Amino acid sequence: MKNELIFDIKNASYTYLDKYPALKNVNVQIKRSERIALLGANGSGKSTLLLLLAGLIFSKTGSVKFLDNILTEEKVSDEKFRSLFRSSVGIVFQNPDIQLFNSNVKDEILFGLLQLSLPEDEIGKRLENSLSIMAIGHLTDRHPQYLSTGEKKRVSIASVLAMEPDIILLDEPTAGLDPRTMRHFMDIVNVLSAEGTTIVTATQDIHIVPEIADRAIVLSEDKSIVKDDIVSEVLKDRELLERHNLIHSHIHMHQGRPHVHPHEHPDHHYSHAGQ
Amino acid sequence: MKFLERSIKGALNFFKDAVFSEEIARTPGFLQSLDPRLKMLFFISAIVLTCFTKNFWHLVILYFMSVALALLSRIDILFFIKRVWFFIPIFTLFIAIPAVFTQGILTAAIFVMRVAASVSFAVLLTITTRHNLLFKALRSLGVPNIFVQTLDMALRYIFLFVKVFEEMHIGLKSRLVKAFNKKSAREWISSRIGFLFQRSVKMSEDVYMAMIARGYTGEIKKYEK
Repeated sequence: MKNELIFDIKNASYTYLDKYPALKNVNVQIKRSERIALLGANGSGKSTLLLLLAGLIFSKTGSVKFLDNILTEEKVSDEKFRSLFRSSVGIVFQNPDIQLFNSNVKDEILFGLLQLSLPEDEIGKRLENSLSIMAIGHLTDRHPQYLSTGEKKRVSIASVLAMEPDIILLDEPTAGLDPRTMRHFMDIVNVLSAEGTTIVTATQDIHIVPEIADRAIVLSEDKSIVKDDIVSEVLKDRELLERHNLIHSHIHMHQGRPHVHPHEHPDHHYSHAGQ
Repeated sequence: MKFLERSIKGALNFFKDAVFSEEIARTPGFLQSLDPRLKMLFFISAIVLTCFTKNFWHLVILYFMSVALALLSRIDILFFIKRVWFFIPIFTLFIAIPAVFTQGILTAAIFVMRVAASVSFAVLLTITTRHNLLFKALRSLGVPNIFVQTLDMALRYIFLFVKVFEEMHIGLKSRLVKAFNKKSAREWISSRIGFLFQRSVKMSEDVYMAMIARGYTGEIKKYEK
Protein backbone atom coordinates (compact mmCIF):
# COMPACT_ATOMS: atom_id res chain seq x y z
CA MET A 1 0.00 0.00 0.00
CA LYS A 2 1.66 3.20 -1.21
CA ASN A 3 2.07 6.02 1.34
CA GLU A 4 1.67 3.57 4.22
CA LEU A 5 3.91 4.64 7.11
CA ILE A 6 6.49 1.89 7.57
CA PHE A 7 9.10 3.49 9.81
CA ASP A 8 8.40 6.11 12.44
CA ILE A 9 11.47 7.26 14.34
CA LYS A 10 10.83 9.52 17.31
CA ASN A 11 13.61 11.27 19.27
CA ALA A 12 16.00 8.40 18.65
CA SER A 13 19.54 8.72 20.00
CA TYR A 14 22.38 6.23 20.04
CA THR A 15 25.66 6.22 21.91
CA TYR A 16 28.47 3.72 21.28
CA LEU A 17 29.96 2.20 24.43
CA ASP A 18 27.87 4.72 26.43
CA LYS A 19 30.54 7.28 25.59
CA TYR A 20 30.53 8.24 21.94
CA PRO A 21 27.30 9.77 20.64
CA ALA A 22 26.45 8.50 17.15
CA LEU A 23 22.94 9.88 16.70
CA LYS A 24 21.08 12.67 18.52
CA ASN A 25 17.32 13.18 18.72
CA VAL A 26 16.44 11.97 15.28
CA ASN A 27 12.86 12.19 14.01
CA VAL A 28 12.08 10.60 10.64
CA GLN A 29 9.05 9.05 9.03
CA ILE A 30 9.45 6.73 6.06
CA LYS A 31 6.56 5.77 3.83
CA ARG A 32 6.27 2.75 1.59
CA SER A 33 7.90 3.06 -1.87
CA GLU A 34 9.86 6.16 -0.92
CA ARG A 35 13.38 6.71 -2.26
CA ILE A 36 15.42 8.47 0.37
CA ALA A 37 19.07 9.56 0.44
CA LEU A 38 20.79 10.00 3.79
CA LEU A 39 23.52 12.60 3.31
CA GLY A 40 26.29 13.60 5.65
CA ALA A 41 30.03 13.66 6.10
CA ASN A 42 32.00 10.81 7.68
CA GLY A 43 30.89 10.14 11.22
CA SER A 44 27.58 12.00 10.91
CA GLY A 45 25.55 8.95 11.93
CA LYS A 46 24.24 7.70 8.57
CA SER A 47 25.33 4.10 9.15
CA THR A 48 24.02 4.16 12.73
CA LEU A 49 20.63 5.32 11.47
CA LEU A 50 20.56 2.45 8.94
CA LEU A 51 21.45 -0.08 11.67
CA LEU A 52 18.59 1.29 13.80
CA LEU A 53 16.18 0.88 10.88
CA ALA A 54 17.49 -2.65 10.27
CA GLY A 55 16.78 -3.60 13.90
CA LEU A 56 20.43 -4.46 14.51
CA ILE A 57 21.00 -1.85 17.20
CA PHE A 58 18.36 -0.21 19.37
CA SER A 59 17.80 3.40 20.33
CA LYS A 60 18.75 4.30 23.91
CA THR A 61 16.06 7.00 24.00
CA GLY A 62 12.94 7.59 21.91
CA SER A 63 11.61 4.88 19.65
CA VAL A 64 11.86 3.30 16.20
CA LYS A 65 8.55 1.93 15.01
CA PHE A 66 8.20 -0.57 12.14
CA LEU A 67 4.54 -0.68 11.05
CA ASP A 68 2.78 -1.01 14.42
CA ASN A 69 5.71 -2.46 16.34
CA ILE A 70 8.35 -0.64 18.33
CA LEU A 71 11.71 -2.23 17.51
CA THR A 72 13.33 -3.58 20.65
CA GLU A 73 15.72 -6.45 21.27
CA GLU A 74 12.82 -8.54 22.65
CA LYS A 75 10.57 -7.72 19.70
CA VAL A 76 13.10 -8.81 17.06
CA SER A 77 13.77 -11.99 19.05
CA ASP A 78 10.12 -12.95 18.72
CA GLU A 79 10.06 -15.69 16.10
CA LYS A 80 6.95 -14.57 14.25
CA PHE A 81 7.91 -10.90 14.13
CA ARG A 82 11.55 -11.63 13.31
CA SER A 83 10.59 -13.72 10.33
CA LEU A 84 8.32 -10.95 8.95
CA PHE A 85 10.84 -8.21 9.72
CA ARG A 86 13.97 -9.91 8.36
CA SER A 87 12.22 -10.90 5.14
CA SER A 88 10.89 -7.34 4.71
CA VAL A 89 14.00 -5.31 5.51
CA GLY A 90 17.34 -5.93 3.79
CA ILE A 91 20.57 -4.08 4.47
CA VAL A 92 23.69 -3.87 2.31
CA PHE A 93 26.71 -2.97 4.46
CA GLN A 94 29.35 -0.51 3.38
CA ASN A 95 32.19 -3.02 3.69
CA PRO A 96 31.38 -6.04 1.51
CA ASP A 97 33.87 -8.19 3.44
CA ILE A 98 31.47 -8.02 6.37
CA GLN A 99 28.64 -9.28 4.27
CA LEU A 100 30.52 -12.00 2.41
CA PHE A 101 31.16 -14.52 5.17
CA ASN A 102 30.58 -17.67 3.13
CA SER A 103 33.23 -19.48 1.14
CA ASN A 104 31.67 -18.97 -2.27
CA VAL A 105 29.24 -16.67 -4.03
CA LYS A 106 26.49 -19.27 -4.36
CA ASP A 107 26.51 -20.11 -0.63
CA GLU A 108 26.50 -16.40 0.13
CA ILE A 109 23.27 -15.83 -1.77
CA LEU A 110 21.73 -19.02 -0.43
CA PHE A 111 22.46 -18.06 3.20
CA GLY A 112 19.52 -15.67 3.58
CA LEU A 113 17.21 -17.78 1.42
CA LEU A 114 17.77 -20.84 3.60
CA GLN A 115 17.09 -18.82 6.74
CA LEU A 116 13.70 -17.88 5.25
CA SER A 117 12.87 -21.62 5.01
CA LEU A 118 11.53 -21.29 1.47
CA PRO A 119 10.63 -24.33 -0.66
CA GLU A 120 13.62 -25.71 -2.63
CA ASP A 121 12.35 -24.75 -6.08
CA GLU A 122 11.72 -21.17 -4.89
CA ILE A 123 15.27 -21.04 -3.48
CA GLY A 124 16.70 -22.17 -6.83
CA LYS A 125 14.58 -19.65 -8.72
CA ARG A 126 15.59 -16.74 -6.51
CA LEU A 127 19.25 -17.73 -6.67
CA GLU A 128 19.22 -17.73 -10.47
CA ASN A 129 17.27 -14.49 -10.58
CA SER A 130 19.58 -12.52 -8.29
CA LEU A 131 22.68 -13.88 -10.09
CA SER A 132 21.25 -12.69 -13.38
CA ILE A 133 20.12 -9.23 -12.10
CA MET A 134 23.60 -8.52 -10.73
CA ALA A 135 25.34 -10.17 -13.73
CA ILE A 136 27.44 -12.45 -11.51
CA GLY A 137 26.39 -15.85 -12.85
CA HIS A 138 30.01 -16.57 -13.81
CA LEU A 139 31.20 -16.09 -10.22
CA THR A 140 29.08 -18.68 -8.36
CA ASP A 141 31.96 -20.94 -7.26
CA ARG A 142 34.40 -18.11 -6.61
CA HIS A 143 35.77 -17.58 -3.09
CA PRO A 144 35.33 -13.97 -1.84
CA GLN A 145 39.11 -13.58 -1.59
CA TYR A 146 39.32 -13.83 -5.38
CA LEU A 147 36.70 -11.15 -6.09
CA SER A 148 37.39 -7.51 -6.97
CA THR A 149 35.79 -4.73 -4.88
CA GLY A 150 33.13 -4.16 -7.52
CA GLU A 151 32.34 -7.89 -7.72
CA LYS A 152 32.15 -8.14 -3.92
CA LYS A 153 29.71 -5.24 -3.87
CA ARG A 154 27.58 -6.89 -6.56
CA VAL A 155 27.50 -10.15 -4.60
CA SER A 156 26.51 -8.41 -1.37
CA ILE A 157 23.68 -6.61 -3.16
CA ALA A 158 22.60 -9.90 -4.81
CA SER A 159 22.56 -11.67 -1.43
CA VAL A 160 20.05 -9.10 -0.18
CA LEU A 161 18.01 -8.84 -3.40
CA ALA A 162 17.51 -12.63 -3.40
CA MET A 163 15.52 -12.27 -0.19
CA GLU A 164 13.14 -9.93 -2.09
CA PRO A 165 12.74 -7.42 0.73
CA ASP A 166 10.16 -4.59 0.50
CA ILE A 167 12.63 -2.19 2.08
CA ILE A 168 16.31 -2.01 1.14
CA LEU A 169 18.85 -0.06 3.19
CA LEU A 170 22.09 0.69 1.36
CA ASP A 171 25.22 1.95 3.11
CA GLU A 172 27.55 3.79 0.72
CA PRO A 173 26.67 1.42 -2.13
CA THR A 174 28.75 3.21 -4.76
CA ALA A 175 31.98 3.58 -2.77
CA GLY A 176 34.84 2.09 -4.74
CA LEU A 177 32.76 1.18 -7.80
CA ASP A 178 33.93 1.73 -11.35
CA PRO A 179 31.66 3.91 -13.55
CA ARG A 180 30.02 0.99 -15.34
CA THR A 181 29.17 -0.88 -12.13
CA MET A 182 27.89 2.36 -10.64
CA ARG A 183 25.62 2.88 -13.64
CA HIS A 184 24.38 -0.72 -13.36
CA PHE A 185 23.69 -0.21 -9.67
CA MET A 186 21.66 2.96 -10.28
CA ASP A 187 19.61 1.20 -12.96
CA ILE A 188 18.81 -1.60 -10.50
CA VAL A 189 17.73 0.88 -7.83
CA ASN A 190 15.37 2.48 -10.33
CA VAL A 191 13.89 -0.87 -11.42
CA LEU A 192 13.35 -1.91 -7.78
CA SER A 193 11.84 1.43 -7.00
CA ALA A 194 9.43 1.15 -9.96
CA GLU A 195 8.37 -2.21 -8.50
CA GLY A 196 7.47 -0.46 -5.24
CA THR A 197 10.53 -1.22 -3.10
CA THR A 198 11.36 1.37 -0.44
CA ILE A 199 15.00 2.37 -0.78
CA VAL A 200 17.07 4.26 1.77
CA THR A 201 20.63 5.01 0.63
CA ALA A 202 23.30 6.47 2.87
CA THR A 203 25.86 8.26 0.72
CA GLN A 204 28.36 11.07 0.51
CA ASP A 205 28.25 10.90 -3.23
CA ILE A 206 25.74 13.65 -3.92
CA HIS A 207 26.09 13.26 -7.68
CA ILE A 208 24.08 10.07 -7.64
CA VAL A 209 21.34 11.47 -5.37
CA PRO A 210 19.01 12.92 -8.05
CA GLU A 211 18.93 9.53 -9.73
CA ILE A 212 18.37 7.28 -6.76
CA ALA A 213 16.26 9.43 -4.42
CA ASP A 214 13.31 11.81 -4.32
CA ARG A 215 13.86 12.91 -0.74
CA ALA A 216 17.12 13.74 1.02
CA ILE A 217 17.89 13.88 4.71
CA VAL A 218 21.07 15.70 5.72
CA LEU A 219 22.84 14.73 8.94
CA SER A 220 25.27 17.15 10.52
CA GLU A 221 28.60 16.38 12.13
CA ASP A 222 26.90 16.76 15.52
CA LYS A 223 24.81 13.66 14.57
CA SER A 224 21.42 15.30 14.16
CA ILE A 225 19.16 15.97 11.17
CA VAL A 226 19.59 19.46 9.75
CA LYS A 227 17.43 19.16 6.64
CA ASP A 228 14.75 16.80 5.35
CA ASP A 229 13.26 17.84 2.02
CA ILE A 230 12.82 16.87 -1.61
CA VAL A 231 16.14 16.29 -3.38
CA SER A 232 15.99 19.37 -5.63
CA GLU A 233 15.51 21.67 -2.62
CA VAL A 234 18.35 20.06 -0.67
CA LEU A 235 20.75 20.20 -3.59
CA LYS A 236 19.86 23.85 -4.22
CA ASP A 237 21.05 24.76 -0.73
CA ARG A 238 24.76 25.02 -1.60
CA GLU A 239 25.62 26.75 1.65
CA LEU A 240 24.16 23.82 3.64
CA LEU A 241 25.97 21.25 1.51
CA GLU A 242 29.27 23.04 1.88
CA ARG A 243 28.79 23.48 5.63
CA HIS A 244 28.22 19.74 6.01
CA ASN A 245 31.17 18.77 3.89
CA LEU A 246 29.19 17.41 0.95
CA ILE A 247 30.64 19.80 -1.62
CA HIS A 248 33.83 21.78 -1.40
CA SER A 249 35.75 24.61 -2.94
CA HIS A 250 39.00 23.94 -4.70
CA ILE A 251 41.25 25.58 -7.21
CA HIS A 252 40.62 24.40 -10.74
CA MET A 253 41.09 25.54 -14.30
CA HIS A 254 38.49 27.08 -16.58
CA GLN A 255 39.71 28.20 -20.03
CA GLY A 256 43.26 28.10 -18.81
CA ARG A 257 42.61 30.28 -15.74
CA PRO A 258 42.65 28.90 -12.21
CA HIS A 259 39.80 29.95 -9.87
CA VAL A 260 37.91 28.75 -6.79
CA HIS A 261 34.20 28.10 -6.17
CA PRO A 262 32.27 25.32 -4.39
CA HIS A 263 31.34 22.49 -6.68
CA GLU A 264 31.14 18.79 -7.30
CA HIS A 265 31.82 16.85 -10.48
CA PRO A 266 28.49 15.50 -11.71
CA ASP A 267 29.84 15.02 -15.23
CA HIS A 268 32.26 12.41 -13.91
CA HIS A 269 29.46 10.29 -12.63
CA TYR A 270 26.27 10.44 -14.61
CA SER A 271 26.96 12.42 -17.71
CA HIS A 272 24.87 10.03 -19.78
CA ALA A 273 22.11 9.67 -17.20
CA GLY A 274 19.80 12.14 -18.83
CA GLN A 275 20.58 11.16 -22.40
CA MET B 1 64.70 -4.93 8.81
CA LYS B 2 65.87 -8.14 7.25
CA PHE B 3 64.50 -10.00 10.23
CA LEU B 4 61.15 -8.25 9.83
CA GLU B 5 61.07 -8.78 6.09
CA ARG B 6 61.97 -12.47 6.39
CA SER B 7 59.45 -13.17 9.17
CA ILE B 8 56.61 -11.46 7.36
CA LYS B 9 57.40 -13.03 4.01
CA GLY B 10 57.77 -16.46 5.60
CA ALA B 11 54.47 -16.24 7.45
CA LEU B 12 52.56 -14.82 4.48
CA ASN B 13 53.94 -17.38 2.07
CA PHE B 14 53.10 -20.15 4.49
CA PHE B 15 49.48 -19.04 4.64
CA LYS B 16 49.26 -18.57 0.91
CA ASP B 17 50.88 -21.87 -0.05
CA ALA B 18 49.90 -24.23 2.69
CA VAL B 19 46.52 -23.01 3.78
CA PHE B 20 44.90 -21.20 0.91
CA SER B 21 46.35 -22.55 -2.26
CA GLU B 22 44.15 -25.11 -3.92
CA GLU B 23 46.74 -25.68 -6.62
CA ILE B 24 47.72 -29.15 -5.37
CA ALA B 25 44.08 -30.15 -4.88
CA ARG B 26 43.46 -29.27 -8.53
CA THR B 27 46.40 -31.27 -9.95
CA PRO B 28 45.58 -34.90 -10.82
CA GLY B 29 47.04 -37.49 -8.43
CA PHE B 30 46.19 -40.48 -6.27
CA LEU B 31 44.76 -38.72 -3.21
CA GLN B 32 43.10 -36.04 -5.33
CA SER B 33 41.12 -38.73 -7.15
CA LEU B 34 39.60 -40.21 -3.98
CA ASP B 35 36.17 -39.35 -2.61
CA PRO B 36 36.72 -36.65 0.08
CA ARG B 37 34.60 -38.58 2.61
CA LEU B 38 36.64 -41.74 2.13
CA LYS B 39 39.85 -39.73 2.33
CA MET B 40 38.73 -38.04 5.51
CA LEU B 41 37.82 -41.35 7.16
CA PHE B 42 41.17 -42.82 6.08
CA PHE B 43 43.21 -39.94 7.46
CA ILE B 44 41.25 -39.70 10.70
CA SER B 45 41.88 -43.44 11.23
CA ALA B 46 45.57 -42.96 10.35
CA ILE B 47 45.90 -40.13 12.89
CA VAL B 48 44.13 -42.16 15.60
CA LEU B 49 46.42 -45.11 14.86
CA THR B 50 49.46 -42.80 15.07
CA CYS B 51 48.32 -41.49 18.44
CA PHE B 52 48.11 -45.01 19.88
CA THR B 53 51.36 -46.35 18.37
CA LYS B 54 54.07 -46.61 21.01
CA ASN B 55 56.88 -48.13 18.94
CA PHE B 56 59.29 -45.61 17.44
CA TRP B 57 59.93 -47.65 14.26
CA HIS B 58 56.22 -48.15 13.65
CA LEU B 59 55.87 -44.38 13.80
CA VAL B 60 58.73 -44.00 11.31
CA ILE B 61 56.90 -46.39 8.97
CA LEU B 62 53.68 -44.38 9.33
CA TYR B 63 55.61 -41.18 8.55
CA PHE B 64 57.18 -42.69 5.45
CA MET B 65 53.77 -43.94 4.41
CA SER B 66 52.61 -40.32 4.34
CA VAL B 67 55.66 -39.39 2.27
CA ALA B 68 54.87 -42.23 -0.16
CA LEU B 69 51.26 -41.00 -0.44
CA ALA B 70 52.57 -37.51 -1.15
CA LEU B 71 54.78 -38.91 -3.93
CA LEU B 72 51.85 -40.86 -5.40
CA SER B 73 49.78 -37.70 -5.38
CA ARG B 74 52.47 -35.78 -7.30
CA ILE B 75 53.13 -33.34 -4.47
CA ASP B 76 56.50 -31.59 -4.51
CA ILE B 77 58.18 -33.66 -1.81
CA LEU B 78 60.46 -30.89 -0.56
CA PHE B 79 57.50 -28.56 -0.20
CA PHE B 80 55.60 -31.27 1.70
CA ILE B 81 58.44 -32.07 4.10
CA LYS B 82 59.09 -28.37 4.72
CA ARG B 83 55.41 -27.70 5.45
CA VAL B 84 55.20 -30.54 7.96
CA TRP B 85 58.43 -29.72 9.76
CA PHE B 86 57.50 -26.04 9.91
CA PHE B 87 54.88 -26.84 12.56
CA ILE B 88 56.84 -29.41 14.46
CA PRO B 89 59.67 -27.30 15.89
CA ILE B 90 57.16 -24.73 17.17
CA PHE B 91 54.78 -27.10 18.88
CA THR B 92 57.01 -29.87 20.04
CA LEU B 93 60.40 -28.40 20.73
CA PHE B 94 59.47 -26.81 24.04
CA ILE B 95 57.61 -29.91 25.15
CA ALA B 96 60.14 -32.49 23.91
CA ILE B 97 63.36 -30.91 25.19
CA PRO B 98 62.61 -31.37 28.92
CA ALA B 99 61.52 -34.95 28.16
CA VAL B 100 65.05 -35.72 26.89
CA PHE B 101 66.38 -35.11 30.42
CA THR B 102 63.53 -36.58 32.43
CA GLN B 103 62.33 -39.54 30.36
CA GLY B 104 65.15 -40.21 27.92
CA ILE B 105 65.82 -39.49 24.29
CA LEU B 106 63.61 -42.30 22.95
CA THR B 107 60.47 -40.86 24.59
CA ALA B 108 61.25 -37.46 23.11
CA ALA B 109 61.90 -39.03 19.68
CA ILE B 110 58.62 -41.00 19.82
CA PHE B 111 56.81 -37.81 20.72
CA VAL B 112 58.33 -35.81 17.84
CA MET B 113 57.77 -38.67 15.37
CA ARG B 114 54.15 -39.04 16.44
CA VAL B 115 53.55 -35.33 15.86
CA ALA B 116 55.38 -35.48 12.50
CA ALA B 117 53.28 -38.41 11.25
CA SER B 118 49.98 -36.92 12.48
CA VAL B 119 50.73 -33.51 10.98
CA SER B 120 51.77 -35.18 7.71
CA PHE B 121 48.43 -36.95 7.45
CA ALA B 122 46.52 -33.78 8.30
CA VAL B 123 48.54 -31.73 5.78
CA LEU B 124 47.99 -34.38 3.09
CA LEU B 125 44.25 -34.31 3.63
CA THR B 126 44.00 -30.52 3.50
CA ILE B 127 46.29 -29.90 0.55
CA THR B 128 44.80 -32.60 -1.67
CA THR B 129 41.17 -31.65 -1.06
CA ARG B 130 39.49 -28.42 -2.14
CA HIS B 131 38.19 -26.53 0.86
CA ASN B 132 34.53 -26.59 -0.05
CA LEU B 133 34.69 -30.38 -0.62
CA LEU B 134 36.50 -30.81 2.68
CA PHE B 135 33.77 -28.93 4.51
CA LYS B 136 31.07 -30.81 2.61
CA ALA B 137 32.74 -34.10 3.62
CA LEU B 138 32.80 -32.98 7.26
CA ARG B 139 29.08 -32.23 7.10
CA SER B 140 28.26 -35.53 5.43
CA LEU B 141 30.19 -37.34 8.18
CA GLY B 142 27.82 -35.81 10.71
CA VAL B 143 29.86 -32.86 11.97
CA PRO B 144 27.27 -30.19 12.94
CA ASN B 145 26.83 -27.37 10.42
CA ILE B 146 27.67 -24.73 13.00
CA PHE B 147 31.19 -26.18 13.49
CA VAL B 148 31.82 -26.49 9.79
CA GLN B 149 30.56 -22.96 9.14
CA THR B 150 32.76 -21.60 11.94
CA LEU B 151 35.84 -23.30 10.45
CA ASP B 152 34.92 -22.05 7.02
CA MET B 153 34.51 -18.49 8.26
CA ALA B 154 37.73 -18.64 10.26
CA LEU B 155 39.62 -19.57 7.09
CA ARG B 156 37.88 -16.81 5.14
CA TYR B 157 38.77 -14.10 7.67
CA ILE B 158 42.31 -15.32 8.39
CA PHE B 159 42.98 -14.82 4.71
CA LEU B 160 41.47 -11.34 4.84
CA PHE B 161 43.67 -10.37 7.79
CA VAL B 162 46.76 -11.86 6.15
CA LYS B 163 46.01 -9.57 3.22
CA VAL B 164 45.50 -6.55 5.49
CA PHE B 165 48.83 -7.32 7.17
CA GLU B 166 50.55 -7.63 3.82
CA GLU B 167 49.16 -4.25 2.76
CA MET B 168 50.27 -2.63 6.02
CA HIS B 169 53.75 -4.00 5.42
CA ILE B 170 53.82 -2.62 1.88
CA GLY B 171 52.59 0.71 3.28
CA LEU B 172 55.43 0.72 5.78
CA LYS B 173 58.04 -0.22 3.19
CA SER B 174 56.89 2.53 0.84
CA ARG B 175 57.53 5.18 3.51
CA LEU B 176 60.68 3.78 5.04
CA VAL B 177 63.78 5.74 4.15
CA LYS B 178 66.23 4.47 6.74
CA ALA B 179 66.48 0.82 7.68
CA PHE B 180 64.44 -0.29 10.69
CA ASN B 181 66.48 -1.48 13.64
CA LYS B 182 65.48 -4.72 15.34
CA LYS B 183 63.79 -2.99 18.25
CA SER B 184 61.62 -0.79 16.01
CA ALA B 185 60.80 -3.80 13.83
CA ARG B 186 59.60 -5.75 16.86
CA GLU B 187 57.61 -2.77 18.07
CA TRP B 188 56.01 -2.35 14.66
CA ILE B 189 55.02 -6.02 14.45
CA SER B 190 53.57 -6.10 17.95
CA SER B 191 51.60 -2.89 17.38
CA ARG B 192 50.19 -4.35 14.14
CA ILE B 193 49.25 -7.59 15.87
CA GLY B 194 47.37 -5.54 18.45
CA PHE B 195 45.68 -3.51 15.74
CA LEU B 196 44.63 -6.65 13.86
CA PHE B 197 43.24 -8.13 17.05
CA GLN B 198 41.12 -5.02 17.63
CA ARG B 199 39.97 -5.08 14.03
CA SER B 200 39.06 -8.75 14.18
CA VAL B 201 36.93 -8.17 17.29
CA LYS B 202 35.08 -5.30 15.60
CA MET B 203 34.73 -7.31 12.40
CA SER B 204 33.31 -10.33 14.20
CA GLU B 205 30.62 -8.09 15.71
CA ASP B 206 29.80 -6.60 12.31
CA VAL B 207 29.73 -10.00 10.58
CA TYR B 208 27.37 -11.27 13.26
CA MET B 209 25.09 -8.29 12.57
CA ALA B 210 25.22 -9.06 8.83
CA MET B 211 24.21 -12.65 9.61
CA ILE B 212 21.34 -11.53 11.88
CA ALA B 213 20.16 -9.11 9.18
CA ARG B 214 19.71 -12.05 6.83
CA GLY B 215 17.63 -14.00 9.30
CA TYR B 216 20.31 -15.99 11.17
CA THR B 217 19.01 -17.37 14.44
CA GLY B 218 21.84 -19.65 15.49
CA GLU B 219 21.11 -22.46 13.08
CA ILE B 220 23.11 -22.87 9.88
CA LYS B 221 21.15 -24.39 7.03
CA LYS B 222 22.73 -25.91 3.95
CA TYR B 223 21.51 -26.49 0.42
CA GLU B 224 23.35 -29.43 -1.08
CA LYS B 225 22.20 -29.22 -4.71
